[in-house]
Amino acid sequence: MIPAPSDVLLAALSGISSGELVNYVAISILRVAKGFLLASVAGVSAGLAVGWSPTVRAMVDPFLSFLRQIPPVAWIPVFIMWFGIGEGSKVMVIAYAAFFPVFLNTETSVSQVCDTFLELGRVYRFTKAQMLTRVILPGSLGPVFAGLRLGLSASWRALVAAEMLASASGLGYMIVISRELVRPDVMFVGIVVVGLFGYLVDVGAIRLQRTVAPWSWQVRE
Amino acid sequence: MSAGVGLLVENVVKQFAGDSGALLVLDHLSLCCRPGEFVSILGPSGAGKTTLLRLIAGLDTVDSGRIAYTDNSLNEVDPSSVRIGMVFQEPRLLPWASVAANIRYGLQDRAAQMSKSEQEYAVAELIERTGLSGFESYLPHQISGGMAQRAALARALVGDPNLLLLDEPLGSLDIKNRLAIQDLLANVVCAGGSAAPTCVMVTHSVDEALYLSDRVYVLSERPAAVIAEVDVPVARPRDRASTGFFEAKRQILSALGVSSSP
Repeated sequence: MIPAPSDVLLAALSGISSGELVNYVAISILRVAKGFLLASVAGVSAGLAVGWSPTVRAMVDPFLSFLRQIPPVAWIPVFIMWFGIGEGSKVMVIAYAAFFPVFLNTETSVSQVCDTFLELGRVYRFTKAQMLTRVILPGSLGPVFAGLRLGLSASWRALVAAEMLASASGLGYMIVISRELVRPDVMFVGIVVVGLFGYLVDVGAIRLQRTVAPWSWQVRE
Repeated sequence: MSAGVGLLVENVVKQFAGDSGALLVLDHLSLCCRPGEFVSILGPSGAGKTTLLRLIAGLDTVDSGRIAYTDNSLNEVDPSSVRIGMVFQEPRLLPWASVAANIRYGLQDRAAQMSKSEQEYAVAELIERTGLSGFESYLPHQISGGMAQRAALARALVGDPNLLLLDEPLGSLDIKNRLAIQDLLANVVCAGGSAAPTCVMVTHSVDEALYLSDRVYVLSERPAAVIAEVDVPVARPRDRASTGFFEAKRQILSALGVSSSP
């Protein structure tokens, strides 16, 4: 049964005035921020290292490819065991989900530099350092940004799942608990807010990418 | 201006692995250029002209035969001492660098001998000569394809190359720009006899080849071999309307199998 939009709106307003909705949103956003930051740092560093060095890639790639197949949610019980029922386990699940898009996009941007630019560098005798500073690093801005955007979406999805399964706060929790309390209006407030925030963040990220790497907008997307 | 280097292409064979076996692209092809000469290569599409240019640039290796750079006395010269400027069929500008920066990247080892302001001056001079004034800080996606190709030419020239390789460089330009850049190339060539860079240009345009070249090689269909070598003995500076081109044009057209009778 889908509740009437007016009911959802009323529930939302009630949640805002009581402070509960705002509180849950803040908690969720904070978790995403922590997890995404962790994943970005790890993903970009690992992507650069693996993309740059074939030896590192040979060592690390098979293991990461294996890990990638495991959905983030499957790790929740393990992370609770390792990091406890508190924030740590949620943040780790989010970081895990965001890591792979960031890592993969960064890695390919370094290891698969356009052939045409490699040839350009050969004819014009770019040194290895010049190849790095003129071609590889600036060239990876676009793909890394795209990876970060995908990572952010993955973070948000993982957050909701983690909160639904293992949390007593946040938007995911709100959706789950409203089923037990038989409050479909609150459930849909949760769903709409999750979708809205995800959308707004993505729009903001696209804007940022267009500012930071305007050429990549033309080329990649 | 750097002295041009001589070019020797001897019996070059090049094939590629294709879906249905090996594809022979260059069949015992030979040609040569004296230092400072401007040589054009004309031929049908797919004949292997780009492949030949890539082999000369060192981007690929021959299957048999050899390619060598020589000095005035036909002695072989160390390839690493030859500065090459190349204009590809697509501009190949780095998308994240400004027009001026892209051109500056063509300086190669010259940059080490120049101060920052000398480098800027060299770049600015070429920007003006290629008609790109005002667009120095634009990114490649903000300029037209024709302008990008002109920037690529500026990049090839800024390093003062010994060997200039041009792969249909004016294809995406409108007629006015095409003629202007042809004049720029003619000036680069005229400026110092054998002290000018050696130029090898692949082109589809017979008129362009005639206007710019000292000699024109006509290639056959793939697998490509040289079917005609035509001298263009017209004094420089040249007038496009000169009748001196007539005989050379007749020979080229007849080699291409095109009737030239009115």
